[in-house]
Parts: sequence; C-alpha cells; structure tokens
Amino acid sequence: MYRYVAGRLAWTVFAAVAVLSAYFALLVLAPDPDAAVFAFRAAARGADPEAAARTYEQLRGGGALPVRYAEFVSNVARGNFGWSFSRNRPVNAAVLDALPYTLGYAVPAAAFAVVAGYAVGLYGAFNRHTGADRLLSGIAFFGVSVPNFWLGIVCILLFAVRAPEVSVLGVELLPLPSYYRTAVVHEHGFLSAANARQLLLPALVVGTGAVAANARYARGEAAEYVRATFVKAARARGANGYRAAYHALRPALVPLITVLLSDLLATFLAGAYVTEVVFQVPGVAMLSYEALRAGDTPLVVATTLLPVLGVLLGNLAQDIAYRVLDPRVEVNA
Amino acid sequence: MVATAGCAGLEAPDSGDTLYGPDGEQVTLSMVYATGSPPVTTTMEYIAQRLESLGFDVERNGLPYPDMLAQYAQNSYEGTTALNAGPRDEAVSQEPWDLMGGVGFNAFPRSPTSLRTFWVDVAERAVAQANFFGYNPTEALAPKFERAATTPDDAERRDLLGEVFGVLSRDQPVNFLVFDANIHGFARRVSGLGEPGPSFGYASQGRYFGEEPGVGGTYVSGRSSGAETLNPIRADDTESDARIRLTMDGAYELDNDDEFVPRWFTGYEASEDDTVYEFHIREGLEWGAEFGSMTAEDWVYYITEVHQAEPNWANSLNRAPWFRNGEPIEVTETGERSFEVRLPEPDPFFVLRPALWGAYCLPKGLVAEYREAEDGEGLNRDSGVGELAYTGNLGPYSFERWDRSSVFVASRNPDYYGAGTLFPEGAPFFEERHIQTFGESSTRLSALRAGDIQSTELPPDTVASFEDDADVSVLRTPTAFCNMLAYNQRANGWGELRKPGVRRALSTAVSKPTIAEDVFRGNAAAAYTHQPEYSRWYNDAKVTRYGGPNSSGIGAARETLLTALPEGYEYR
Amino acid sequence: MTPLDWLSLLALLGIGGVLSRLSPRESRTYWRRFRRDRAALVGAAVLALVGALGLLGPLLAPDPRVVPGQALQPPLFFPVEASVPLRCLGETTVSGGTRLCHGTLAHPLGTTGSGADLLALVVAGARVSLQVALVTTAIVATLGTLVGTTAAYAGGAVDELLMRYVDLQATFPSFFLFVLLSYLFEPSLFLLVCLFGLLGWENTARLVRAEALQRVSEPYVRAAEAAGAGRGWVLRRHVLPNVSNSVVVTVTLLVPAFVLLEASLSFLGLTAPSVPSWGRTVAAGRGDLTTAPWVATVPGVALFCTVLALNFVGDGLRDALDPREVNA
Repeated sequence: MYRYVAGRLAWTVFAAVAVLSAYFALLVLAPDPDAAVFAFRAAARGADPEAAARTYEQLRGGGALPVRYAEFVSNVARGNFGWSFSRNRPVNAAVLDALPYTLGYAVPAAAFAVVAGYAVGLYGAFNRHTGADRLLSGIAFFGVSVPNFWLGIVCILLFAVRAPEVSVLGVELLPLPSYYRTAVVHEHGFLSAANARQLLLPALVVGTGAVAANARYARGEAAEYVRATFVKAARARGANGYRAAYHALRPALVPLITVLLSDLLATFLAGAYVTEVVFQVPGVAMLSYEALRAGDTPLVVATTLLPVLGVLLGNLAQDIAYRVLDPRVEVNA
Repeated sequence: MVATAGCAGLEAPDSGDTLYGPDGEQVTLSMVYATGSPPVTTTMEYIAQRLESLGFDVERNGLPYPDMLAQYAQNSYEGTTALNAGPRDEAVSQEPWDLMGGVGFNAFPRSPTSLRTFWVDVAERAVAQANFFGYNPTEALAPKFERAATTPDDAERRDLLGEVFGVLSRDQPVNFLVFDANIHGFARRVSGLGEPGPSFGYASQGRYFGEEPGVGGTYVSGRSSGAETLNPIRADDTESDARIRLTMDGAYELDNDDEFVPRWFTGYEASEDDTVYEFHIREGLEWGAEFGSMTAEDWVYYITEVHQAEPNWANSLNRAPWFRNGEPIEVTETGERSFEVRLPEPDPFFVLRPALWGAYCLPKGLVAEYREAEDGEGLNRDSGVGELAYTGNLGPYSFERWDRSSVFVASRNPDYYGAGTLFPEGAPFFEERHIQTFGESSTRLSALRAGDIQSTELPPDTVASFEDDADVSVLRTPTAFCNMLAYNQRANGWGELRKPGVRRALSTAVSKPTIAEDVFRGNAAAAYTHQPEYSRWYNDAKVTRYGGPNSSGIGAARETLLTALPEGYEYR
Repeated sequence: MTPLDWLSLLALLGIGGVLSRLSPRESRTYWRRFRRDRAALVGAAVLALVGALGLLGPLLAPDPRVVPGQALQPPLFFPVEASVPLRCLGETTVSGGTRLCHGTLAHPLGTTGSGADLLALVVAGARVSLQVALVTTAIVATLGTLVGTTAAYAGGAVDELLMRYVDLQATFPSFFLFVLLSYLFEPSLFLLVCLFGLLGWENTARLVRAEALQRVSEPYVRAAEAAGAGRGWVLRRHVLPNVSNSVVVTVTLLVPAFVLLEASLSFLGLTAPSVPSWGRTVAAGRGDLTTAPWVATVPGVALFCTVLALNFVGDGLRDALDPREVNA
C-alpha cells in the first residue's frame, strides 16, 4: 500500500511538471499580439518603433527560451514563482491575495452542491419517476441548463437593481450588492455578515451549476444498485431504508468518485471564471485569465498549478478509495 | 423575414448587380475588424452590406484588436517590424486584407501637426510611422505640416491645416466614419460636474455630493479596465493615468478652450519666436516621504535623466515629446522654482503638447538612488513608487490601497495644496475616492442603476434608458477620436485601392449620418476628414463630403466606381 | 457544405450505424421502457424538433442579417417602450402616459441590438447546437470507449500507459486551455468543436474502464471464459452492452456542458462573431436585459429547453438501457 501511494505521489509530481510545461510552451511559443498594440500606441505618439520594441521586450521580462524554461522549472520547484510583470508584484503575493476571494464563494458552493445534489440524487434513486422526483430533478437541471453568466446577470438585476428594500429585524436583506466590493472585506473582515451577503449570489450561481451533476451521478449509480441482488438480500435480512442505502451506495461510490472530483473541478473552473467576471470577484480564476491575456508566464504557471494539483491529488485520493471501497476490483498496482 | 422599412438608409440592402474583375470573377474584398465594441461590429456589418450592394463580395473576419494589429497592421521589412516598416510595394502585413475596421486615431485638435504620423507619404518613414495602410497623398502634405508647425502666423497655419484636411477628405486614404462622443452617467446627487467639452473633468477636484460643497461620503467611479501601472514613468494608458491623477494634479491643465489652467505650475512665458518657454512652479508644494519641496531641480533632473537618458534605463514611455529631430530638447533651471525649455525650432503649440501638459514628476532624491545604477526595474519595484508614497500635498487624495482587478482606493488629502487656492476651501469634498474596475459592462451599468457607483461611461444604446432614470444624469462630451475604415494601399491589398477615385466611390456607398444616427443612436458626429467640425482647423469650404447626407447612395457610387476603375471591370 | 457540416453528417451516420446494430427485440424492449418515462418522451420530442430545425431550418429561413435601422424591435404581443428601439417598425400606441412600440409579423420574435431577426438566429443556432452535439458525441463516445475497454481488457503495461495519459489529459484545466487557445488562435466553430471532443473523453474512458473492470470480475463473465469464450466475444456480449450504459449517461451530460461552454466562450468574446450560436446571441444581448430582455431570453429559452431535454432524455435512456431491468 505504501509503495503504491509513493508511486502515485511520484506520478503526481511528474504530471504536474508535464502539464505546466505544456502550458509554458503554449504561452511562450504563441504570438504576442499585445506587442502590436504597444507599437501602435508608440507610433501614434511619434516614438521610434525600434526603441519602443526594445522597451517592450524589457518590460515583459523577455529572454531566451531555455533560460526562461530553466527559470520556470526552478520557480515551480522552489514554490517561489518569481515576479509578475503584469501585476508589478511577486507572483506568490498576487496568488495568495486572490485565493481567499475564490474560496469565499467556492467552498460554500461546493458544500451546497454536494449536499443538495446527493440528497436529490439518492431520493430519486429510491423513488424513481414519482412526482417529487421529477420536480426535484427539474430544479436541479435548471441550474445546469442555463448559462452561468446569464444566471449571474439576471440575479444581479433581480436582487440588486430591481429588488425592493427588505429588512428583517434591522438587518438589511435586500437589495444585495450589485458587485463584489473588496472594501467590505477590509472594513468588516472576511467572515462578516456583510461579506457573506456579497458572496451569496456568486456562490449560488456556481453551486447550482454543480448540483445537477452530483444529483445525476448519485442517482444514476445508486439506482443501478437499488435493485441489485445484494441490496435485496440486505432488505430481506431486515435492513431498513438507510442501511439499504448504505449498501447501495458503497459500490456505487466507486465509479461515482471516479468522475466526481475532476468533474466537480472542471465545472467549478468554468463556472468560477465566468462568475468572477460577472460579479467582479478578484479571485484566482480572474487572476489566471488576466495572466493569460497579458502573457505573464510566471503568473500563469502559478495559477494553473492550483487546479492541476487539485485534480492530481483528487485522482490520488480516488485511486486509494477505489482500492479500499471495492475489493472485488483488482487494481494494477 | 427581411424587414422592408421605408426610411432611407435603413432598409436591408437590395441585391444589385455584381461587379466582375478582369479575371472574370466577382471582385472580393476582405474586411477585418476588431471585435469588442458592439457599435463597431454593427457598423462594419452595415458597411459590408452596403459594399455588397455595390457589387462586391465581402469576406468578413472579426478578431480581437491586438490580434488584428499584429496580423494586419504591422509589416516587416529588412528585419524591422513596425506599422510602417518599409515601402508599400514591399513591406506588407502578415495577412492580406483590403478593409480594416475598428481602428481609429485621435485628431489631436490641440496639436494637429502630430497627425503627420498618419498622413504623410508612406515613403517618409521617419515621419509617417503610423501609416500602416500605405497612403501616398495626391498633394505633398509633409511640407504643409512642417510649415504649419513652425509659422508664427496663425492665419497661415489655419489655411495650411485647412488645406491638409481638405486633401484628406478628397483622397479618402481611409473612410472617415464618425467621431465618438463620450457619454457620462452620474448619480444625480453628484454636483459640480463642470461644463461638457473636450476637457470635461479637468476640474473634478471641485465635485461634491448634494446641494452645497461639504466634506463627506465615498465617490466610486466605474471603469471597464484596470490600470497597468502606478509608475508615472511607465504609464501611457488612460486607465493608469486616471488613478495616478487622483493623487497628483500634474503640471497644468487645459480648459475647454485650450487655455492654460494652473496646477503645480502657476504660469509660463513664451519667447517672441516661440522657441523658449519658461515655466514657474508654485510655492508650497511638498513631496511626501521627506523628499522636501518641489523645485525646478526635480523637474530638470526628471526630464533630462529619465525621459532623455540614453539608454532608456527607466523604460520611460513618455520620451517622444522631449526629442526633436532625434536630439534631446534643452531644459535648464532658471531659478529655484523655474526652468526653461529651449526648442531648436519655433513651436507655438508646445504648451498644448503632452510634454508638460498634465505631466507628472518624481522627486530627485527618489530617482537619483536608482539613476546611478541605471536600475529602472528597481525604481519600478520600489514600494514608495508602487504606493505613490511621494505624493505629499500634490494631489486631492492620497493612495490607500490598490486591489488589483477590483478597486483603487484613495483617501482625502487634508493638506491638498489646491484647497483654498485653486478650489474652494475644504476641497476635495469626498472622504474616499474609489475607482472600481468592471470586466463585465452589464454589471457596471447595473451598479450605476443600483446606486452602488456614482459615475461611469455609458454605451450609446443604453443612453435612452438612463435618461429615463430619475437617479441618473447623463452628459455628453464630443471627442476627437475618429472611427475609421482603412483601405489597404500596400501590395497585399486590392491594387485598385491605390486610386483615389475608387476609394471615393467606396466611401460614397456608406452613409455616415446613418452610422451616427442609427448605430450610435445620435451619440456620434459624422466624419468627413480627420478633424471634427468643432475644431478651429476644420474649414468647411475645403472639405468634400463623401457619404454625407446629400450623398445619393449606391447609384452614384457605382458611377464613380466604374469611372475610376480601369478596363476589364464591369457590372453584370 | 463546410467541413463542419461534413463532420456532422459523418457523426450522424456513425451514431445511426451503432444504433442499427441493436437487435429488433432489444430495440423494442428499450423503446417500450423509454416510453414509460413521460419526461424523457417530451425531451425526445424537443430534441427531434431542434434536430429538424437544425437540419432544415437554414434552408427555409435566410441568414440573419444585420440591419442597424431595425434594432431592438419587440416581439409580437410584447410591446415595449418606444424609446428602446431606434425606430419602431410596428404600430406605436400610447398607454398610461408612455408610448409603446408593438412587434410586427416580419419579426415575430423581435430583433437584436444590431437588427438581426431573432427567429432567424434561433433557427441558425439550432444548427450550431446540432453540430456541436453530433460531433462531440461521436468523438467522445468513440475515443472514450476505445481507450477504456482497451485499457480494461489489455491490462498490464497498456492499461498503465493509457490511464497515465488519461490522467494527464484530465489534469489539464481544459477550460483555461480553451480560453488560452481561443485567445491566441481564434478557432472557428469547427476547430472548437473538435477541441471539445478531443479534450472531453477522458472521463468517459475512465468510467468505461471502471465498468469494464467490474464486469470482467463478475462471476458470469468468468464462467463464460471458463467455458471457452474468447475475449472478443465476451467484450461484445457482456462488457460493451453494460458499458454502453455509462457511455450514454456520460455523453448525454457532456453535450449540454459543451453547448454551455460554447456560450461561456462567447460571453468572453473568444468565439468568432460570425457564428450564430444561441450562446453568442444570449451573450450579445446580456447588456440589454433591462430594456430589451427578449434578445437574451428568446435564445436563452431555446438553449434551456434543449439542454433540459437532453438531460431528461439521458435519464430515460439510462433507465431504458439498464440491463438489470431487462433481466429483472
């Protein structure tokens, strides 16, 4: 078992470096259109184009490719990702600043999605095709059937622009803030009610996108086992609903977990970026996008590493869980 | 499904005859345009449809602005890549194109001689650095610009520039489309907005909430992009400037009539022949972080050691105005708080140029540390520079923090030099001033509607709904930014575009008033040359209008086109 | 016909070919069980409608054209304040002090901010969605099943290698890869759809492999092998049909995700403006939601109904195809 885990960890490191190198290659080898904008602005000012081009190179921290790659590898190894020219500050500082904002809505969203999704899914597995099942499924599917950005913009219109003023016991409930204000975090603190109010809509938008995925898989896989022989056997032995569910769930968890983590992460990444743009949350997803657009390689590498590591560690966890949960299956170790 | 409205210029284009070239094929024009602005995209589509009515086949390609410049505007020649890298027969862009939309140049009505970078003959590469479309004027424009720049006789200058813009209107090197207007939305409780005009907002330090000026509240403005840097040496974009300017007033301003408005400088004197300018610095200006008073020494050091330094150790992006003919302009101290600028040739516009207009400065003590080692990056990363710690009493607000991709926060500066001198006692009247970045424009507009921000710019098609909003006041200011459709006269475009007659015909087919009224909803002014009509350099008698209100449209355009095209082109 | 049209046709034929290999008895059974789920039936009807619109629509309705003069016309029966459209093509009435502009038959669903007819856009968007669905389904199903079953069956080094590659591909935060590639290279719809497919099959492969591995360990398969059945036969008879269950489930959830992903990329401005997808129209109309809500809502509803239908049909298909049901 330990050898297995060690082997997987080694693989994790290798995979991380491989993926990041691919990103690095794409960025470095790709054309840099911003140079043209810079040149245009310089020409319109009457500046010398050659000098402008040189200035641009220096500003971007250019250099020979092998040198930059070596720098990139050492950055990743040390965990100090160097300097971000587009932010004019150390990469680590930029990422650490952005991380809490993303976690602030992503963690509640994930919790909501998992709990609600599993609840809806399991209920549906045991009570298929009933009216309640249809209704719950419908609500879950709504979240995954509308574009995130549309939902976000409509929520802003409904709850911020057009909302009437509603207060309960002196606490202002509506209207919600129309965008995310970092000033609130500085004034009231990160775990304050004011911050929670402005994280509500982003969390809702991201979470609803993931509820249906969870529900679907929980229901699909559990349903298969509901009628399975061994569940019937358990029931025949007198197991009540919950124990039956447990028996159904355990092997169902195997393929479930197989897709769960990476799926969740993928959903979150796509949803997170759009949500951050719509609500103007200065989180990691937005940081990553702006780094891509600016061609700021050290920053891109750092912000990409986070989801990459997340997925890899998730895979590791699921492979281990695989071995533990379904001993029927032989895993090629 | 296609509408048939009866109003002129609005209806879907009727299918006309097709234009065939000497090779027996329909003439195809390739149109590229920058995406990102819905009015521009709609305008380009409209133009494409009009040209299709004229008989062409138009291939459309929309792409982001930076990509468009990189692939279609830059050309390479003998190892150089620039907007005008070489002769138009040899230096061509990476990809072929015929029409380019989504580009535009400011008409600089304050210093119109700067426009020579666009319009002078493409062969004069040192001057015409932005002539990426390969234009050869039918009359030499370089001498006219030259003379207009140096003559002391204002009437002669107006004549010459009037002629220049007349030539441009007849030559149609690009199809001048419309001049934008900036549309500002303010929360109604913001007062002291100032007069709309080309310099709108130059006295924004005097704004306040409510009926009477009084200190209080947070004023949040919404902008669609963030700043690139807070280092004035490297700031050459409007977003960075907007944030820096909260903390520093700059040398001086120009009002809506182009008159000198004192800020850090109290005034200036120009010599008889407009070659020597002496500027006077106000008393009582103190740098922060113990760098002392602002003196002429700071300014001269900054100009000579930062902007004019060879090599450009500080990576200054604002060097160009400080060089003439490749040589640095002489700048010397004439007193503790005065210095003079000695130009090699007369320049009556010097005060209106970006050299000192709104210019910032850094204390000599701060710069000198890094100058010795030529450590421009060190200066850039200096925390004092990054946090604008040196701004002392030089601006209405002091830097608080900059949350990237979110908000720039500045707090009221009680020591502001302008309070009681240039502005009423107690200025500025907001406790905090925020500039909030919005990547998504619908969120920015929603924030204004909800009252979460107090001002922002409005896109043309939302103006009507904001004018109906009781909590918002709408102000329009004209700009000199001209949207254009460029014609490719380099070797990789349609060869016939080198004929002015052909370009005139294509411009006739497009109705500028339609674009201004329909696409921009009246929030733009039709353009026929590279000056807005309100500019003193615009001479209506010399300008010919192609595509104007009296233009007869497709029929006339076809006639003109056939006349201008050589044998082999016909309509079938 | 563009390359994308050819690829969609190929995908359609491929899917049809796979479906035709079902025995008539199996098909009848599946259909009978599918019919029982009414939500799935309605979903299937919606999908058939969208498919028909997508295939035939562009032949019947013209390309949506931009006509600035007819911007923001309201739909029929939903009048709007007269200040919203530039010029009202329909009649204007006064009601309660405000001037209202009414829709016209020429534009029953209204027009967008640049004057394009919404009905034409909905039809054109149906074709885009259809193409996205077909091509990505074909690529994902094919690659995923191939790789998954090969890995499960071959075992050993082959399994290891394939799964390591699948790991790597799954690790790529593909959304950012799309953003990066779209930003740098502005791919056409064809390339984008291929990219979706090529980067979206890893979960399917994993799932297929997991299912296949489970089946392979089951007593009835062991029994068959002990009785002398060859691998190929076991694969076809026992593994693939049970695995196809998971493939169908995964793919029917992937397709709406891709359609919505294309919408997100349009929102970010990374897709070609000439592609009249529903996502793009919704994205383009998002600024007008307060004044002209139909621009984003009409294609949004179309998108929503299609995606919802895909979900219900997927549900129904999974229930219908569950082999345990057949045997129970």
